Amino acid sequence: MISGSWFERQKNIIDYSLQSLLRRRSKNILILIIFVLLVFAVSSILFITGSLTREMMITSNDLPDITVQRILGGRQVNVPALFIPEIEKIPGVEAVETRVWGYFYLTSLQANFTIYGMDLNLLEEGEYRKIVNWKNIPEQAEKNPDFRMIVGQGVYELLKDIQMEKAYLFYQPSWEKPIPFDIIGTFKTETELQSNDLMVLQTEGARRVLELPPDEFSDLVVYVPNPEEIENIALKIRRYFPELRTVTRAQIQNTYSSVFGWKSAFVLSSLLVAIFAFLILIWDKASGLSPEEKREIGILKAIGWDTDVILSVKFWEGLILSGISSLAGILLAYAYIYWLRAPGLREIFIGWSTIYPSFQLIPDVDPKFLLLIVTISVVPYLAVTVFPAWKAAITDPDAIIRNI
Amino acid sequence: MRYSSWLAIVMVVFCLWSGLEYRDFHKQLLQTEQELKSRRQFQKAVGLPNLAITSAARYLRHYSITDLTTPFQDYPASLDHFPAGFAFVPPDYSNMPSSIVFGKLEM
Repeated sequence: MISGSWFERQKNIIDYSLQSLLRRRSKNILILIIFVLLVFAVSSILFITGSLTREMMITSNDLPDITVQRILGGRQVNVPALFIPEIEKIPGVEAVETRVWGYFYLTSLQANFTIYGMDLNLLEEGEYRKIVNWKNIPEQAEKNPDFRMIVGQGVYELLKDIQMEKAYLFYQPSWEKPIPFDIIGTFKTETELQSNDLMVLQTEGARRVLELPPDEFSDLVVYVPNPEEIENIALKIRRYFPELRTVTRAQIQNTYSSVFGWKSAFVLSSLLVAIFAFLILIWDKASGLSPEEKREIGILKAIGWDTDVILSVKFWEGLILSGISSLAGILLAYAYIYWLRAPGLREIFIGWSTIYPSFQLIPDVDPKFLLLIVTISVVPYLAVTVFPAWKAAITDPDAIIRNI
Repeated sequence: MRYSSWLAIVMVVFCLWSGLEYRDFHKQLLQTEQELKSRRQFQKAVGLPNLAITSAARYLRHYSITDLTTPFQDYPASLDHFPAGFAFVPPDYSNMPSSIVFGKLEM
C-alpha cells in the first residue's frame, strides 16, 4: 500500500513505471522508434495532401463557370470563332470569353512553361495591379505593345540564369526568326503556387508563339450568372455541338477534392506492411507477459501491492510510451512538412519539373484527424499492456512466482 | 532527481514545442488570409485551374481540364510515366457523352 495524497501516490507509481520501462530499455526504445515513425509517416501524408487540396480549393470559386473544349479524334483541338455566337444564343448565358493558351517547351532548360494570352492592360488597372511586381518598362516595349509579358517567379529565376530576365526570345526551329518579348513584371510570390510556371503574354503575341491561326482559340469559357443553370447549359452545349466538351466549375472542384485522396490512400496502404510489423510487435507484447514480467507482478502482489496499483503501473507505462511517441510523431510531421517543406515527399508531387515552387503550404491540421491518430495509437496500446497485466495480477502470486 | 520529475521536464518540452507549432499555424493562417485576396484576383485574371506544382506533363499541370486521351498518348496505361503521375488521379470523365470501351470492338 502506498501512502500519501492521490497526487503523491501517482507520482510514486509513475516513478516505478519509468524505472520499469528503463529496465527493459532496448525493447521499449525499439517500440518508441517504430511508433514515432509510423505516426510521423501517416501524419505527414495526411498533412501534405490536406494542404495541397486546401491550396487548390481556396481559389476554386473564382474559376470560370464552364470551360468549353473541342475534341476531334479524341484530342483537344482549337475552337473556331463560329461557335461563340451560337453559345451566346443559349438562354442564361451571360458571356462567352475566348482563351488563348498552351505550353512552350524549352529544350535547353528542359522546362515546360504555360503560356497564357490576355490583354495585359487589364492587369494594369484597379485591383489587378497589385498582383504584379511591375518593372521599369523599357522604351521599346512601349513601341511593341504586342510583345510584352509578365512571368511567374519560377520562370523569372530560370530566365535569370540564362541572362534573359529583361527580354526573352521565343524560338522554334521551324520559325524564320525568334520572337523577342519584353518582361514588364513578375507575379508576386503570394500567387506562386498558381503562377510559378506561367508566362502571361499579350494575346496577339501569344498567338504568334503558339502558332494559333486567326479566328481560332484554345478554348472558350462561358459565364452563367445563375449557378442552378450551369449544369443545364453545359448539357445543352454538348447536345447542340457533340464535338464540344464541357468542364463545369463543380467538376473541377470535384477533381480537386479527390485528386490526392486516392493516391494518399495508396501510399497509406503501402504502409500497411509497416503497420502489420508494428501490430506483430504489439501482439508479441500482448500475447502474454514475459515470465520475468509475470514474476515481477507476482512478487509485487506477494509483498502486498493491490491489483489496482499494479494496473496503474502498467497503465502509466503504456500511456507514457504511446502518448510521447504519438505526440512526437505528429509534431515531427508538422515540422517536416511546414518548416522543412517536405524534402523527399515533395519530389513525388513535383516529379520531373524543372520549375519548382517553394512549397510553402498553408497548414491544414484537422483536430478530428489528430484525435483519430491518438485514438488508434494510444487506446489499443493501453489495452494490450493493461489486459495481460490484469490477468497476471488476479492470479495467485505463489503460482506466478513458481511459474506453474 | 526523481524519474517523475524527468517526465515532467519532457512534458514541458513537448508543450513548448506544441505551442511553438500552434503559434506558427496561426501565423500562417493569418498570413494566408492576407494573401488570399491577391490569389483570388490572380485566379480571376487567369482562369486556368490547378496548381503549378508540377509542369512535367500537360495532363499533370492542368489535369482538371486535360483531354481524354492525353494521359495515354504514349502507350496504354502510361499515366505513371512521370513520377508526379503517382500523386495525381486521372480526371473525372463522367461527363463524356458515351463511356470509353477498351478491348475488342463488338461487331
